[in-house]
Amino acid sequence: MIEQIIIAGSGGQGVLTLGIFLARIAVYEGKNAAWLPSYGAEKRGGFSFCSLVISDKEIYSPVVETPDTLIVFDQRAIESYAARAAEKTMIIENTSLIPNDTAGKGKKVLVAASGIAKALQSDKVTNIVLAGAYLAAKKIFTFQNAETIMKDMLGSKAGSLMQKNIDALKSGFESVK
Amino acid sequence: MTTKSNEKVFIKGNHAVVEAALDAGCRFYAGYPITPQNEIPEFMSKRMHEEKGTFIQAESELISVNMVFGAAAAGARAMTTSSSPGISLMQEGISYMAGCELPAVLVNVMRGGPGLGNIQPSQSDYFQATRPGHGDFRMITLAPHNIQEMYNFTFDAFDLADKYRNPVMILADGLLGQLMENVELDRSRKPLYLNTPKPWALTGAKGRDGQRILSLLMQPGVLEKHNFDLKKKYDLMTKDEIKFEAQGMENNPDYLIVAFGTVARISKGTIRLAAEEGLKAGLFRPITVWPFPYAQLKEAAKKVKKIFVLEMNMGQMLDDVKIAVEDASKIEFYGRPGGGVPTAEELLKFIKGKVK
Repeated sequence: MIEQIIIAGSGGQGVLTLGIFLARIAVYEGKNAAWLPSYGAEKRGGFSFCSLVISDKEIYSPVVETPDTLIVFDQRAIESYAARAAEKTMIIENTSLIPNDTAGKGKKVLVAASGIAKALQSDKVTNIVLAGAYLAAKKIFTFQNAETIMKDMLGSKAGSLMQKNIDALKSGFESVK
Repeated sequence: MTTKSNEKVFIKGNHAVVEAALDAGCRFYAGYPITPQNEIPEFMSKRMHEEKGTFIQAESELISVNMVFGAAAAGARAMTTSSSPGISLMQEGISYMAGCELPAVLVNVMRGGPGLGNIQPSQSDYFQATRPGHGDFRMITLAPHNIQEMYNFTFDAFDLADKYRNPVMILADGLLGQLMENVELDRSRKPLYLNTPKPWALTGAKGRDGQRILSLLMQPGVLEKHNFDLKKKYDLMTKDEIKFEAQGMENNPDYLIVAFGTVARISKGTIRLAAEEGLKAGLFRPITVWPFPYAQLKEAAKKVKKIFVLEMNMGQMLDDVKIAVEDASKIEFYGRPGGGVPTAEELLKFIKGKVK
């Protein structure tokens, strides 16, 4: 199998972290993963983007031309990347920040991720809501393995932040199921 | 960040460089920030402290390389890292270390140029890496193409630097610096020459006569003899240290791609796509871009109809390929300069356009 993902949004939204999260679940499940960020000079608010390739074979090119999955966080992201989608592409959209859906081709998964995150009293977990939606929509990874990696990534902060992140992951998952 | 296990870790190329340097016994690092290699000094500042070594953020690249010069003269395993414009600034120090026969490891995480250029991945410092500095010197230069090799080759570089008492360079690029992949950190690997005595080192003249390390050799004939001696060393490197990867040669391919680093791994994807369309292509990947595998490439190129040299510059390794192969009319070149990274599909399209 090969799964090529593009994730796009703005700096500070957790775009790169979402990519690493999915990559690490893949690695935990015995697959190869290659995660490549775009890196600009800006720290927050600038355009943020990463590509992720997951495969059970050796990964040659980490550069994604046509994604199997496109995850877009906001209006600017969908306008920049909708053209990369093909019929096969699954587009997971954060509808909370996309008033004008410009995507043509592709199978759409609509999730009001920022809204769901706000309802959990933390818009910082928008990316985790989208991760939950990804798990449910693509069915590549198990929810349990995602929880294991989440705990590892939170590290010493797991005690205070784990529950909120699990809630976000579940909400995203259930919004698609 | 996992740092203390023998298990596979999922890390950036820049972080793999740090882990390899520390595993190889490097305990002195000096550097100055520049994208896209900033994770090296950032992570090194933390990890070097844990290993009780010395980390210095110097005031410039010139100072960094000369601090490494000083640490190497005192017998330390020392390294610095930078990206293209910063490596240009270090050329004087690299030449001095070669002249003084000092071991050191340098990593160039290349970005687009010329000048300050941009911060995107590039291979535009091939010329500078393979024909470095001023004066008649040579430097082993290893070009990794995945994150495992970022780790392995950085470790190798320290052993090679001590083996030949000469600077060694890792020639990476912004993509390899930023890319995260599975890496197996070999914590049980033993560095070679780490505990070999360095009687030439400046360790204080207690109980022995004073000695000097210098590259200024003004007496008649002395510098000429020094250069003849250095040449013997470079000949040994050429004889013993050439590394390359040849893929798909057993299938008698019609076409041969020659590429290094990032473009080599993308080319592997191109070869897979080409096979689906009935085109038989092989890959020749120089791992040491100096010493360049001229003889091995000459042999691999003999039976193919065409040779495709693919680079992220406007044709630098191309010159070495032309030296290597007998019939230069078989060579086609495709390059992406200024930070452009080709896709596997794009390279296939170029190749198909040339083989019709």
